[in-house]
Amino acid sequence: MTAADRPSGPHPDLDILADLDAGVLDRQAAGRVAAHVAACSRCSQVVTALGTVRADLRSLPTPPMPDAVARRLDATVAGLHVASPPATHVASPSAARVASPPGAGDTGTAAAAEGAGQPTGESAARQVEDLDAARERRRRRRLRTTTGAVAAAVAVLAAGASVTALVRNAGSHNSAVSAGSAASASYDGRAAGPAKQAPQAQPNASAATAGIPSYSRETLRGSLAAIERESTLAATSKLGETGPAGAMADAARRQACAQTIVGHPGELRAVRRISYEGVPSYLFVFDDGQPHGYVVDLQCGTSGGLPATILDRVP
Amino acid sequence: MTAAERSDAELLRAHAAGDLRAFEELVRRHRDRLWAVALRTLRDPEDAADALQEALISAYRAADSFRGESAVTTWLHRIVVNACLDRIRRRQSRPTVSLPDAGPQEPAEARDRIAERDTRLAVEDALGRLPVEQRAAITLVDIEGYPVADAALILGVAEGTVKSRCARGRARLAVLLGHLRNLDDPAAVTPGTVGREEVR
Repeated sequence: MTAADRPSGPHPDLDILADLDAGVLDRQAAGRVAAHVAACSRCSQVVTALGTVRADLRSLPTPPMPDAVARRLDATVAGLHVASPPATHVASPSAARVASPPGAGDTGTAAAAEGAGQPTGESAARQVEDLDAARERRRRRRLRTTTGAVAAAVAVLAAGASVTALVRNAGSHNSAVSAGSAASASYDGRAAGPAKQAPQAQPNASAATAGIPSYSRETLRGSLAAIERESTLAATSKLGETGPAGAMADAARRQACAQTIVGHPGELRAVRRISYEGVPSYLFVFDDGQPHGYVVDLQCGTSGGLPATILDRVP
Repeated sequence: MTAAERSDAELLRAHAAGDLRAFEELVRRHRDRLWAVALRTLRDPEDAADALQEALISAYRAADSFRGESAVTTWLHRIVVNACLDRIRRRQSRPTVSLPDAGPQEPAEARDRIAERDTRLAVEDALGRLPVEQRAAITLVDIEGYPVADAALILGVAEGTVKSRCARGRARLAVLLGHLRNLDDPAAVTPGTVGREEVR
């Protein structure tokens, strides 16, 4: 046996060799493991095998989107043009303002945007997402959804959805209502089913708690309704950063974060700084007739418009 | 033809300004790659189509929150990947529906069978056995060829985490694909923590 065949120490395990291959190891560890590999035919075979895996992966073709899926997505986008034409995004100047970098807008602007953004196209788009959730439930009953059904349901929801709760909330932001009223008028004034009646938030500012409340998935599920009742957005704003909403007491930050929580239903009712399963995070509670909790990371709203990192959603 | 000449960012701006065709053009331009990512992440065409639809609705609505600090493709991919991961989380919270990817251990004969198949099918199959976080990282970096930095943005994790997930995933694939069967000293290959899924 030559010196080159005699590696020092036991074989590093597969994970360590993969870490070396991926450039994860720090300089010192990488040097040590690389020296072993150079002297060990067995470990260099492993590293070669990892290279083969990468080559295997590179050679996988990109599967083309099936025509049926392409048609369905085209129909979805066409439905969005009806339910929420893109122009409504700029119809409200305050909504356009939200697109500026974080911190560029003042709190007042964002507060207006919070009211204005929702009664415009967004409410309709959220209804589309409600539809999507409903559609998934149907799918689980093994019923195929056709694109026609999607388009039809979009139209039904856009016509029948109530934004009573939205307008009530926006009312506290005064001028925001008029900014959104043109768009919301066509949706409002219809009879809303009981399921769409958002619970009336209590104007209880104290909401809470000296420390940061801690939840598990199970305890959060049982607490959502109470959190929603206790923590109106106006109240959290008044309490500032030391309040239960932490940095999200700032309306601009809150709005920036809420905008990037992909797929949430209903309107924002409460925000809490919490510890979730031991992870410092924010809880956003949306309501579309029942509370939906989204747990997001502390950086939410600072990612330059990239979708929020959602740690969990409850229920 | 002018639409084809516009950049992604121009299309997104045009969409936000009310151009009804711009978003469709943007989707058409990228949908195959988005589809590939969704399909490989979710392993189920119907789920992938649902996630993609959900993601496009979100992107349509959130277009005015795009600030041009990242590429439009990165932004779109992040929305799609988030929709996929969210779907998987919901699937996991429903105990009656099982994940398509198997747990960390599968019988030796299954491994052998996979190794004997046509390479491409075997690789796709083995990918399906990775924990989803590893699969998502490998899909972006190794299959779609995204730089680690972009994959980190898309997945919302640190670059080191992306590298680490790729490393763990490749190690597991090497075992599943039978690339480590003919080593001089095969018994010494210890999968170690391979297959243990990181939980954010």
